[in-house]
Amino acid sequence: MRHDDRELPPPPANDRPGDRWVLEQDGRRRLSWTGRRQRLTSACLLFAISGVALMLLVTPATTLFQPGDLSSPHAQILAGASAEQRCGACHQSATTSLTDWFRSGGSGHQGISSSERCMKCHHTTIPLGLAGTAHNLPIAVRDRLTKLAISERGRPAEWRPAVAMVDQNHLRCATCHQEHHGPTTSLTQLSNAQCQACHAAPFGSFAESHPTWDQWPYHRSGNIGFDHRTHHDQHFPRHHPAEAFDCRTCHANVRDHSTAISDLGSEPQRSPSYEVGCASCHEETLRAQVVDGITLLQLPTLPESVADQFGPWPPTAIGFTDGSLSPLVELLIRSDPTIAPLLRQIPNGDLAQLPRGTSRSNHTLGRIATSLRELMDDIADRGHRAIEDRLTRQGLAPPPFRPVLQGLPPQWIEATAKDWFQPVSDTPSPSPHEADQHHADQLPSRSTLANSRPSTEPTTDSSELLPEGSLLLDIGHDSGVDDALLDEGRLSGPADPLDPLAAAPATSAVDKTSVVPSELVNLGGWYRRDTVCDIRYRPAGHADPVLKAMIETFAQLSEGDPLKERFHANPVVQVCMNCHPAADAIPARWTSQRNGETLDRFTVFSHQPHLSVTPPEQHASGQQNSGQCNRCHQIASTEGGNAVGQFAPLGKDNCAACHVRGAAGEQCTTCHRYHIR
Amino acid sequence: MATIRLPLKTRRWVGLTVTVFAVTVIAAITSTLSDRLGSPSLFTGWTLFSCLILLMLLGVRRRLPFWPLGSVSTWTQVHLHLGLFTAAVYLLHAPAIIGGGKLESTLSIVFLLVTVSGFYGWFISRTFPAQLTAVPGEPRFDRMNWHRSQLASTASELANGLPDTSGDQVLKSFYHESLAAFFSQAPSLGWVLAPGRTRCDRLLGDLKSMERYLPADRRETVEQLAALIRRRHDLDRQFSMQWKLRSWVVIHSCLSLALLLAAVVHVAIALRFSH
Amino acid sequence: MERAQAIRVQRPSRWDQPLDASMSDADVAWLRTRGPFNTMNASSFPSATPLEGILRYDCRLHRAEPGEVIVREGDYGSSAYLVVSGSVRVLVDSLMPEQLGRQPPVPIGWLQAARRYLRRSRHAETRSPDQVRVQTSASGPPVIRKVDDRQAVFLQDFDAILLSHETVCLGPGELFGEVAAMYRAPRSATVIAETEAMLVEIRWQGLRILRRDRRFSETLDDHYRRHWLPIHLREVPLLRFLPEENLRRVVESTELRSFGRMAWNIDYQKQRTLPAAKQIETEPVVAHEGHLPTELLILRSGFGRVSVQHGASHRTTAYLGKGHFFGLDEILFNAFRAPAAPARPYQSSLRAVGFLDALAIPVESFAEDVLPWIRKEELPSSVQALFPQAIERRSNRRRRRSAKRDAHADRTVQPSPVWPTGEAESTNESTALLEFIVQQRLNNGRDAMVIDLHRCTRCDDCVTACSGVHDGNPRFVRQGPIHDRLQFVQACMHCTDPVCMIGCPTGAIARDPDTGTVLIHDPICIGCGLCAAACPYDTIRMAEVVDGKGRPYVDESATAPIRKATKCDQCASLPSGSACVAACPHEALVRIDLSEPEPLKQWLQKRS
Repeated sequence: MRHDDRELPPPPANDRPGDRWVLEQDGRRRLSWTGRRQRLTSACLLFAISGVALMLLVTPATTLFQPGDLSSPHAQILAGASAEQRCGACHQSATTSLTDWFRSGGSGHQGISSSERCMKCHHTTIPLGLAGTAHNLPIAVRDRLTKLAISERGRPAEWRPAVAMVDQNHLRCATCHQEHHGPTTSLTQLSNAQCQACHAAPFGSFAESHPTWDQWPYHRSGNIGFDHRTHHDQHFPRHHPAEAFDCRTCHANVRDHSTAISDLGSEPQRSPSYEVGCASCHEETLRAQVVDGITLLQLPTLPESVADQFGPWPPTAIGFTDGSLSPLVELLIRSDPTIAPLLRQIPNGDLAQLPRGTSRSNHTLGRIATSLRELMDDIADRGHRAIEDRLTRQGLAPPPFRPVLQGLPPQWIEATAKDWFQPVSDTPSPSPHEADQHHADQLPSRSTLANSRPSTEPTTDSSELLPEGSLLLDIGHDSGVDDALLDEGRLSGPADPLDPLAAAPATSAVDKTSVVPSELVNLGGWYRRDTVCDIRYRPAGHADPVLKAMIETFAQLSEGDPLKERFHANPVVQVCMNCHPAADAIPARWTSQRNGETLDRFTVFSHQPHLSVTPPEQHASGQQNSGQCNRCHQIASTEGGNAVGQFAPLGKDNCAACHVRGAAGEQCTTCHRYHIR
Repeated sequence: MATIRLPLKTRRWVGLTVTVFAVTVIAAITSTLSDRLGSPSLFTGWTLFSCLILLMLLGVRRRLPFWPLGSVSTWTQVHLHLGLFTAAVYLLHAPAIIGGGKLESTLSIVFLLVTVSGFYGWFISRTFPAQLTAVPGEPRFDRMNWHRSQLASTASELANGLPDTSGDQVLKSFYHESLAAFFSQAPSLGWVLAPGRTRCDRLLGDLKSMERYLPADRRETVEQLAALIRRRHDLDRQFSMQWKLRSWVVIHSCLSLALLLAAVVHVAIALRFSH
Repeated sequence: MERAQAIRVQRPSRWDQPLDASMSDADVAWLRTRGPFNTMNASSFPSATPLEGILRYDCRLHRAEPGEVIVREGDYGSSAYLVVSGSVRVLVDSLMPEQLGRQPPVPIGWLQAARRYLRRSRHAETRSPDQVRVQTSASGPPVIRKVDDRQAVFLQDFDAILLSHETVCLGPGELFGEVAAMYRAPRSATVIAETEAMLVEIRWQGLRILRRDRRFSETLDDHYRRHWLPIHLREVPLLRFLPEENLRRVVESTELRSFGRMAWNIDYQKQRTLPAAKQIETEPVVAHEGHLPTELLILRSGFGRVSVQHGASHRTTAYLGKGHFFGLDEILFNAFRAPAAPARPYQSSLRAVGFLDALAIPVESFAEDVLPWIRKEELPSSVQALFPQAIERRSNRRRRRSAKRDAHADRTVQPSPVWPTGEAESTNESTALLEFIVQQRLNNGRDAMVIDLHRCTRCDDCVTACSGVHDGNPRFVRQGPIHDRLQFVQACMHCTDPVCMIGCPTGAIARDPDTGTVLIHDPICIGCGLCAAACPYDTIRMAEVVDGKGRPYVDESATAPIRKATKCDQCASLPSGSACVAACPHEALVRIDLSEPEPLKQWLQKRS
């Protein structure tokens, strides 16, 4: 005790801490701690209970009890629904009364699971019957895949307790898709372990234990005959020596062509369109190559003896047996079974190769001439139907041919026939060139066709050669163009039979007229040359519908049909088929398959995230992503045969370089999809 | 009577080790369940709920002093480590620190409040006793008022017993102006929550500076008054700490009742809507 | 505080407070005519304390009616009784506690405890009628009746008890109860008045002076040596293998020594507030530090403070209680020392704290009759370490002998009661705590309640629990002396020397023979308040009792309220044990034996 402390009496020693009241020394009683505590506790309880009651009164039970916000798609769908409907949309329990809660198997259940409620909307993307089975696969298929996997990889050696805690044949949607975790949480997020919970032999890390692949992703290509290697190694360096080869010039991003390269936010086009990828180099040569067009029919040059058998035969077509049957016309006339055997005897459809002067040959020629005449008359009489009938008779489906017919007026055929087969008159006919000019002006009016009859005058050598000269002029003009395709030698096709005449002077022709019939339809279309008595079609350019129709029609012929070979040997057709090898298939595949729409696969791939990535080795140098496609897509160094071979196989290692834990991640769901159809 | 028990430090480490081990086990089971597409939240939920009930049994045990089932200190030890364990399991169970939804977020907040108050209580239960021992006097909480009024009446006796000389008048008026209120009023809630020395120091300083106005023989009275102020300050410090030591228990137990209530509702709803 | 103030006005004079103020000169003269006072030589008494004075102030005439219980076995008392006329019976075997009106605690199951807990009374200190008053039935327990102006307990069915129990009859001139009075030992037998008897009750102060009369003294001594000393010596563990012959010789040579005041509890309040140095100086010295040991001291009762000179004062290094030795180390050292080595004097002093009663065995007798019969492993470790070869030699001989005593081998040997002095000196802390415990006489406590204030959150759960299991009445208040981080709470310590039990007129406060717990038996408590006044630690409260509806019980004749002594009963009947200990959430509270320093030390070590 300090010296200045006053001694105070000790407090009374009759404490009773359990009592509610304490007696003060002045006789008043005061609440003890116990008393205050009891009071406070009861007040708190009262407050809590009344608070809860108030909350229940103010807020509906459904909003009160909802454990968390829905993911945004579900929330949007259910936004307008009433509270009961909102819960009841997924929870059967929400539509039952409170008393049912405490009765198992109450009237509300009726065996309806919430998964079935999910399927009310999701049956469009997930087959109803297979919704509950793993990967939506039929059990038999899954078993087969399982056996396959086991045979490939063997049974897992490590001990693994009886895998998943779910029935793989009766999966619930909620097993993987956990709702009520807010709008930002992904409903489809699954860990690798969860993905593989069902798998008999789970994988470890991607780099180490994921199975490898070899052909992926190139095995899906092949519709377009494009050789990346030659373009990269030869054509591009030759013609654009100053520029670097950039894949993305052609494989631009889809979203915006103008800023294709800089826009990294969209997927590069797997197969660029012709206009984007090819036209800049190939458009002009392509036009040059098809300027000749394709022959529908050409009256052969018959010996006079044969020609006399018919009425009038165009005098320009009388002479030594010459000319060939175009595959198109042969297709149309061979529907007559009596003539088909005769046609087969003509080698390559070249009538000049028939033995000269024999009665047999004459008979054949006569029949051919007749049937050509009949064909034209038939068309003139019955129109398109005549052609369709002939095709049908050979078991070909007419529809692919229709685009050909749509641009071919039967009346023009009729007029042509009249022009060609009219009796010889003395009336001086206009020069073929004038006629052609006239013809070009008036086409396709019947009167014009009728007026512009071909000259029946025997053509001079020079006049006969004139069109050829103009062709040569074309070619010569084309030659001036830097044509890679011609240089390659592939598309040049067989040497032009008229080539030897190329040396003929052209200047005389120019004097008379500078217009040849094919030039009259320089935008593409049908034309005829009365000098050689043929009807031809000049394609407009790339993706000409008539040519497409022809190719698709011929595709229906059997593989060994010499007619088909001859058709394909046509340089114009070859121009098409070089790039569209799959056009010969049924159905014809003109374009490459589109990427990303293959819902039946387990895997998905998107270029987009890969384009914005700086590869690991560039982190150090500070380089930003350069969009180097060839980091993955490397052109094979060796000479390869097929389209796949142009690229070195894109193996697992390429992916595993980035897709490891801590970098790009090795989530199963990055590349794999659970729901497949 | 001294039973052989583990030394406190050893016991603490044993307890913490066991808790960490248990949390590890639960976390392993949870991740296994999650990997196997089981229902980890159901598992952790039941764990939490049973832990909650076990935790609340401490309150029951405290109210049943006759119960031969272990001492309250054993229960408290179990309670503390189980509480730690429960907090860890909560983190495994809840999707976020505070769950979504009205009921769930309320439940989360109440749980966190209970946890925080529990840890606060744990902290002050370990730190305050030594501080209380350091403050002179050992007043019992229910007798604080008694002590307070004793000090007040002693001070008033001292002041009023002074003769009416002009010098003493200074001291008297000082008493009536400043000291009387100090002695008669209980400390405010604010002061109890955050006690300081300022008022006591100011009064002592004022008293000290008053000495020169007083007759020489009043020195002892001033010192006695100063001693009373210091005793009153000590008493208030005791009150503050003892009040906190008692109040947190009340808050903790009230909240845990609410927590149990909400947890029962949560369990019912979770079970009802889980399929 | 009132009691403390009353002590302050006490004048330091002998016989200020006579045992019986109504003793008249006629009574004294009458007593002088009766034996043994008639044969006493009055001149052998000092003039300050004449024989008449003793008879007048230290004696009381006690008229006992047939069947009255005069003393009870197990009671503590400070008086001896001399039969003047009539006869009393001493019961050789024990009575059932119920026969004395006591109800030993019956263990109850937790279900019953729960029921009792739930039916707590709303009022303080509620008692059922049978707890307030002894049932008066034909074959039932004794009734309390007034004899002259005091309450006396009567044995019902006395004749039947006489038949069924072996008794010894004491007639006029015979003394009983003197051993318990002088040596602070529990009464060894129950004594009941057979006929109407006149007894002289002599308090121990008077008895001690009466021993100045040689014949009286010899009679007493002879009686004690013959009957009690062998028993007391046998109780000392170290001597338990002594053959009869040796024991007889030890008994002959042993001297009895008493120090200090028996009524130490009266001085307690004054003494405890003295500074330590002053207090030590007021304590009678039993043995001086530095003196050569001539006898081995065995504490029979009371407390001793072991201290060493430290600077200008003494420092307490240990305290001794019943059964402890003093000087054993030194004597053993001297016995085994090398012939050339100097003898070792007492290393510390022994002082009587309050009072101290010791048996002194002379060194020669100890060396000759005791030492050969002490087992090697029971010797203090310091001695063992110092004299390995000597011990080895002796132990070989002893091993042969001890083979016969395998039957005794399982008897637990008490650890060395001597506080290891070296350890005590190592830190000031332990010494301070020892000083404090001795100063506050807490070493008396067998079951003291100690609170670790560094763990205690002052939640009062202990008190609440106590009140919960005692019908809403807490049996202690969380207050008491504080030393450092320890609070020694004012709860009954169930003392080694239960001064509260001295003088209880009805034996309502008694020690449970099995557990040592001091219990109050409500029905025979007459509310005199002697125990509450005697308890130096203020742990007994007198409570005015009420019935279940809160109506106070009052005396039949007067309007005085009925009071009962209340205190901690260690929750004797509860399945949970002490509720206070069980209720502490922070393990801050312990019931601990303070009569030896070791348990407290161990407990403190565990929480450092």
